[in-house]
Amino acid sequence: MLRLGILFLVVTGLGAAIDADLPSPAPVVRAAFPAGVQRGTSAEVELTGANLHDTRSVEFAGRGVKASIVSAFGSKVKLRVVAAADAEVGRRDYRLTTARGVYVGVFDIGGLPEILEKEDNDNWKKPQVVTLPVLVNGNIGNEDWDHFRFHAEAGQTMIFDVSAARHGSRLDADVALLDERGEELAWVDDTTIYGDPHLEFTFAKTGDYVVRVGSLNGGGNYRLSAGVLPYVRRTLPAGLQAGKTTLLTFTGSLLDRVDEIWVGDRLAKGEIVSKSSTEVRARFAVPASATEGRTLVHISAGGMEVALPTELRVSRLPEMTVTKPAFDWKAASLIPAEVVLNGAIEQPAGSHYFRFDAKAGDTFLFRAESMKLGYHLDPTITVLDSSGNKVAFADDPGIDDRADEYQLDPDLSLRCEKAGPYYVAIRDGMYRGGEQLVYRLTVKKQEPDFIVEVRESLKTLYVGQSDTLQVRVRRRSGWDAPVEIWAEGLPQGTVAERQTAEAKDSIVKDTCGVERTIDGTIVLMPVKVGASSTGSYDFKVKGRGVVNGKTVEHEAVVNYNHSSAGYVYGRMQVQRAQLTVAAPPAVLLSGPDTVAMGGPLKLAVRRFGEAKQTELTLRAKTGSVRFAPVVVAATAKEASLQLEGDVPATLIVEAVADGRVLGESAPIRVEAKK
Amino acid sequence: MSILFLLALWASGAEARTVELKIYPPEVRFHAGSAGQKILVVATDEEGVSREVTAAATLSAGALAQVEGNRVVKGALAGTGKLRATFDGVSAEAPVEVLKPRANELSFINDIVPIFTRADCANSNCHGSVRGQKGFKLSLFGSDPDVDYDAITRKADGKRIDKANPANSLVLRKPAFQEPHGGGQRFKVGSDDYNLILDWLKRGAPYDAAGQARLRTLTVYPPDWRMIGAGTQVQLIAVGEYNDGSVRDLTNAVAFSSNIGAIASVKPGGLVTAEQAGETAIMARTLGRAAAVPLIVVKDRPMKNYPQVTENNFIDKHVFAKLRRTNVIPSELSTDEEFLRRVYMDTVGMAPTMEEARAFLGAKDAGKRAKLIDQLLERPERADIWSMRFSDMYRAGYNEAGQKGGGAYGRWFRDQVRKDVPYDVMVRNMLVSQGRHDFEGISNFYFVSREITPEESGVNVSQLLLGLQIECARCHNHPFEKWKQDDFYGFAAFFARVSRKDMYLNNHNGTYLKESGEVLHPKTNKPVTPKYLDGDFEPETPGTDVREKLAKWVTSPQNPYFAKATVNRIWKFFMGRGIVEQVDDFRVTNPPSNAALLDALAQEFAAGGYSLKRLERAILNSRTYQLSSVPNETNRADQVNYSHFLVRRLMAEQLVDTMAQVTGVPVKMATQPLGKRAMTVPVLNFGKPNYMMKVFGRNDLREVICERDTKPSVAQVMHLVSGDTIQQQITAKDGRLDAWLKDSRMTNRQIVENIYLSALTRMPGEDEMNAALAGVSGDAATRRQAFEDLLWMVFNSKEFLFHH
Repeated sequence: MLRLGILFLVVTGLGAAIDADLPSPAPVVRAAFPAGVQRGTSAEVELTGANLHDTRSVEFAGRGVKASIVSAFGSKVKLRVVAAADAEVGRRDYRLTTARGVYVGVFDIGGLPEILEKEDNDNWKKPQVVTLPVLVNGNIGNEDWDHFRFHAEAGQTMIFDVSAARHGSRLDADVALLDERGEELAWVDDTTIYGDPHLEFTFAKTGDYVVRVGSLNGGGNYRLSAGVLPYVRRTLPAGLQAGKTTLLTFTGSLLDRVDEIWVGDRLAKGEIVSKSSTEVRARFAVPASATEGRTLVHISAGGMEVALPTELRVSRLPEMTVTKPAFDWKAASLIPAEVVLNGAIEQPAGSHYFRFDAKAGDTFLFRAESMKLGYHLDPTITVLDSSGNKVAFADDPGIDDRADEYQLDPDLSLRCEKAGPYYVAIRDGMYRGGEQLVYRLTVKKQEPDFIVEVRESLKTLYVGQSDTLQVRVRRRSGWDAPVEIWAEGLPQGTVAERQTAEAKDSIVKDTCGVERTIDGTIVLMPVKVGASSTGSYDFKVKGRGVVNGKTVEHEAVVNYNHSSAGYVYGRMQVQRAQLTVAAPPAVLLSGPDTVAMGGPLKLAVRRFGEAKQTELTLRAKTGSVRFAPVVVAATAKEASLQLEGDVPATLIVEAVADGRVLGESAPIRVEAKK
Repeated sequence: MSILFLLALWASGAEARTVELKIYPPEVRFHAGSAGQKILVVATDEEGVSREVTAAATLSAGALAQVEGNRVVKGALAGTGKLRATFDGVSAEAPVEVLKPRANELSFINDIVPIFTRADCANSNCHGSVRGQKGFKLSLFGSDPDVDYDAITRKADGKRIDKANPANSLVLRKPAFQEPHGGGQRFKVGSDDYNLILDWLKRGAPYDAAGQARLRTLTVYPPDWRMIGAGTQVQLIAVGEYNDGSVRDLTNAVAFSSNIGAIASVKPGGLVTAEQAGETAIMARTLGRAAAVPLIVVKDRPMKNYPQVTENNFIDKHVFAKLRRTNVIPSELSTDEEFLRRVYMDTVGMAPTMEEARAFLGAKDAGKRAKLIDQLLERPERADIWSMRFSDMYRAGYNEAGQKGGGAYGRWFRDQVRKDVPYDVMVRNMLVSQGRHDFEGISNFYFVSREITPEESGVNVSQLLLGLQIECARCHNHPFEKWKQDDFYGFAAFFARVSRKDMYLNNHNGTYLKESGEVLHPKTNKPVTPKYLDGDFEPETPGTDVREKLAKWVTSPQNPYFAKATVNRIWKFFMGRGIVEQVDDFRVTNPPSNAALLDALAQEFAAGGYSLKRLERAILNSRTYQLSSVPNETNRADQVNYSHFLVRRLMAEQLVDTMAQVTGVPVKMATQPLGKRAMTVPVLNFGKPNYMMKVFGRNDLREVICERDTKPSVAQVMHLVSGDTIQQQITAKDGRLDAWLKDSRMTNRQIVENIYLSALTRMPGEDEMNAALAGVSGDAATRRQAFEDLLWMVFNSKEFLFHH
């Protein structure tokens, strides 16, 4: 099937207002296959999307992963991705740049030998044979199932872990395990917080088995890790204090095989204190210079590592693990005024209570994290006064389901009007209990504050175009004042109007058209691109406000563009917002990436601005393929060209009017007729 | 027809001796100085036939009371005593209590409102309809006296009453037909009803004082009745008990009606006349209360020499007792072949394989049926068919839940059945469930509409778990039952905090308990306290989940509804018809076809720890379940008493999976990998339903009650004749047919036998064999074609398509 791409030629100096119908020329990647590469190896990776033919560079975040462009044609880019042997396993942002925009996507670095899925493996009786351990890069299409046969010994426990949504794939995968008769031994669907399946199975009999990857909800790519591999389901505490040594307890399967364990990109190596099949305890000394924020756990056995779906935090506060929780407020123990409490709500309907002392007028921030860490707890925070009366409660933050990271972790700010003991409790919003219901409850005193986020961090605008830039301001710890927003670093000739975010949460419509109040205020900053030079520019958005006579200023957090990285939302790994200025085209000629010699080449012709009523002549720009010049009437919207010449060849078609070239197609590959 | 059977058909005609005498009501209570209490004396003879003998009996109430006209007991002074009845040499006694005199007050609620029900003014075709009649709207059957008082005295500017000249009131003149009246004359001028209303009007048409006694229970006697021969009669009496402890004889106050007038008719005052053989119930209604008397009309007296029918267990005892009472002889025991196919279909969802059939049919063990049942109850596939039944019932995969939520729910059911989790435990856990719908399957229990509301949850719980339809009471007091709006909203209040929330990724959501929530009564706009149906209030304690108490109440052995509603559904799964039908419509006015059987099943279920397996084992081992579907002369018309196995179409999944097993060619289910059995797919993708599944009644799981459509249709016929499923089944290569054809040791006769045995669980008859072999000849292609034709014919046969 021919894949249509939108390709165009830039013609500057038309000087008219920008046509509202002009499509964005920004690059978009819809899929990467394979979606990852094993550390210490290289692989050819194909990116598929739109506006990719003139890709200039692809850069990976962090250390140890490089990409070079093998080819860029039409809607595809082929890369050679090289991952260093010590590259950190896990999700990695890449930044793809063309002449007309920037795209940030996500990729995965693996710690297992990788293979590619081979069709036809739809029938369980005709599976692809694999040797474990392995990481299979596969793709699920419509009515598609992938079957892989492997051998297992009686008594062996294996894991089958699929990464799909968590590395940005649209695939909602499920996994089944079949015996030699095709009978289903086990089936799992949404196991991790991302909806990816994870299965652990102990085989009763020696024999050949089949693992099947499928989907009930559409297709996409996946990475299946399988084998007798250690796997951590939870880590407590779920954080490390910078400058201190912390003892972490890892709970999971096959953990007696672990021979190396560390956090982050070699941030701290673990000194294993004890290990069994279900638990490892290890000490980590994190340098004081470590950056606060997210980090990953890495466990390895014989150099093999499975990427884990859960995260850790590095913080400046003391980390406490709750081993004997108080289930009643009257039994709660006193906690320091500033601390991070780590625990798991294992008992259904259980609440963990803690006592803290406040002076009159103290403002506390309570931040619950679970889903952001990859766990299943839907936290609620309740604060009780000294008599056990509820004085504050927080459940789900207001989420904008079109743009936000999906998580239900609440923040609660409380000003204590009276001095005395107070009690804070955390529980599951659905009163569940279980090993995976892990929480981090940060308790600290905090002055009123706010957070600014750029929600459109990668934007392409044409010269002369007016648009808006979406920014959000979230208020914390009782911030109740307006926040002034402005942008810096925009190219000369481009102006963004300063705006003020009032202290009122915005209301948005969700995908069902239902209005919901979100956490924060959305601000649309009008942007006008004047006589700016074309190119990409880094810019920053900042916010400033005054509360209690104190001025607070913050630089905006840079988030992924909505849906730009599949189901990945939140902060980009590299905090870099970019505006690309492009020249508006007069004519767009759109056609297939590839055409067979002898058949007609059909091109869609779109005109903009002053070229709208212009008669065009189409001619070949490049040499070996020819066609008789075609005149396209002023109102015609397509043209058909009869090609001749030698193949294979690359053809670029020009649109000419009054001797001026108003547009040209992207390169089109011409091949021999099959 | 056997000689025994012919002998049994010979009915007895001779008068039999009385062996028992009963007095109704069993305790005679009335107020001193009142009109007293009507009584009935019932004599039962040695053949078990009862007849009313009140007029012929000798009655004595001693010094305390008098028996007036041999029919009414009354007295002037309070006290206690005994009523003695003697007939045909047999005596009976009933305690008599004469209560203190009742205040001589005329009550609007207890005296005036019932008149409009009895006179048919307040029925659903007249002023009791939703819109009323000609601007005059009464509550249905006097269920809401407040509404009635307002309608009579205040609405239409109060023109319906004339306090200055009470006899000129429209509320009298219209029903007495002194004014043109669309409903004609409802009572005469000067009648008791007329005079009562006139008296009330003369007193100023007052409403009752606060605390006026309200009718609490309505009971009709005798509790059930069998009438022998058309034209025979029985008198019913109705007794009301009030919430202040007072009683009234309501025989002349209630409105009697017959469920099926062609079988028995009833006159005002409760005289019932048998019209023709059959079963019906006589209803009595007043003041929003109803009671029913199940009634059997048989043509002849009990058969002499009724055959001795073997009873395998308690089920047979109750089923066969009812059959004997109705002069119906059960069908013969099913053949081994019939039983084998039936029990496989019901326990593992498809026919037995050839090997399984040969093993069972060849066994000589007398106890082989029970052994097979034990084996089948341990098969893993049993959990699949139960999962499907529950998925239908609980609407797994309601549109919003989709395949993922519905699938998770179906898998939860399957897991529960595999672990033999008691049903009461399952239900308790469902009632208190919370969680993410596509991850924690049980949490889908409440997710049957996009937004979970307390009202909808109340309707679902009452209907699914208790068999009660209370939804009428959402808008108005229930017309036939005791459920008021207070009951409806009180029950809904148990779910006030149950809600839906968005979770994690787009379109993922879950059920959770809100921190707070309340249900407002539509009349008062005030919060309602949770209240058990027909029970007490249960105020919610802070920090607790009031649903936990509800769950205990629902599944308590003392709950009068839960066990009965559940066993009734389970019984229907296996027997094709509920003892109460429809299964979610338990009410006084819809009595069970065999109350003793229903009670016994419920007791067994509770005594067995609510084990599905134990109850299933009892049903499958009963002779009732194992009866042939072939009727005899006496039970041909029976559809309600289980005298023969009820023939019905198989479920879509049973058909599809059996076809695939016969041919060895898997049927592809949309969005499922090849080889997945239909019975293991709890929810089909709504966008891509498998056509055969759809056309054979697979639910789309959106209604409260998900009983399948079992009716035949032209679409089914057309699909079986030439649809893609059957074409693929018989023509696909590399299935069993090809294997048989390639096997040089396999004769044509053996292949015919294999097809019959695997599809129909029996060997072909000689005629069938000859006909099949006659078509098989020629080269390989022709030979295959002939067997394809045979497969097509078998799959299109009623014997294959129906459960029998």
